[in-house]
Amino acid sequence: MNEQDFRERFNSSDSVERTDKDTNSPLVNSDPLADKVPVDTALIHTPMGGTVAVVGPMDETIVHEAPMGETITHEAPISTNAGSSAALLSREESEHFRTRWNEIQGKFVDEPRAAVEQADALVSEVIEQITQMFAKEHSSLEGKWNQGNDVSTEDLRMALQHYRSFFNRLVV
Amino acid sequence: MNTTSIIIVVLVLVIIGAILGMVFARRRRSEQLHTHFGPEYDHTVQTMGDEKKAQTELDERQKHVKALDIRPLSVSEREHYLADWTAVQSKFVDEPGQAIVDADRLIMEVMQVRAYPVSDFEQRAADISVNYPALVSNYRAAREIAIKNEQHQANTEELRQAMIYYRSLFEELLKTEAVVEEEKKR
Repeated sequence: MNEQDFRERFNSSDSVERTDKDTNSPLVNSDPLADKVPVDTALIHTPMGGTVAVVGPMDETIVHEAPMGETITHEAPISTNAGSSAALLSREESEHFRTRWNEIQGKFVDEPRAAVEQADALVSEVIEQITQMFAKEHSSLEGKWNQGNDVSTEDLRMALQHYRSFFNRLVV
Repeated sequence: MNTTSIIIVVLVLVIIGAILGMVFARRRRSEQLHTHFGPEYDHTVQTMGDEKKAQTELDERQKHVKALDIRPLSVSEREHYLADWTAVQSKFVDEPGQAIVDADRLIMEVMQVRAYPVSDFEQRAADISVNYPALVSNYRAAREIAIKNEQHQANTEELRQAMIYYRSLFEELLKTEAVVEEEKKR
């Protein structure tokens, strides 16, 4: 086995396992009855002062399958299908990014500079992904409140809550 | 020329032949040892301070290792240690010093599993030098950095080098029976 081959083995997907818990997400649905709350997003105040966005019908709710010990977060679209999400990145995206991170970290010993360069690129990519997600959410949110003076105070209140939800996910 | 003179000439020739034979035999043995051990040969000569002593030492090493019942790893053992190494290498980013300690320990563990005797560093290096003569200098170099590391004197780049030195040996130690057999056939 030559060195290259060996390196590839070490840097391949069987890199170190990490246990990740999405505990950073302020949007935690701890109420099993919450799913039954009828349409039009309801916000439940949690003891920690955060809010939990809950959506009515299950068919509109994307449930992230979470292993034991992890919190299950529900997507909370704004009244209609606004496509907002509780976690900043989907589970698949997170896993994908983390696999790549592990590869980079495993590579450091062989190619420190390349590892750092790739880490830089990866972090940029993650930020880009989040920016794109916000841009999408932003355009649908803006549609709700930026329609001249015809917007009700209630809609503005809801819009602010959604901004806060996004804000809370960014600023932990 | 009388009979006595003939006997003397023959005797002298026989003696010269015997001496030449011995010299050539020794030179051949010396060449063999040199070819096999490579830089380790010179290292031993330097340490022993005498080529003859060094040759005896290297001879002894070969006999010692030949008497051991060293076995290659099984495929599952290999997978297991490969995963362990990956973890250690990844750990380097957070704790370089500890990663070096772990890497050294991992090599010792694999050596023990493969039935190398438990012993001090010099003996381990001596055993390694018989089967992996090209890698023993890496092992020694890594050892030096590991000692520096114990005194918190090694910088990150040195530690990284040590990691690569250790891995070069680890990689060889990890070969399974199948791989070893395949190489023998070549």
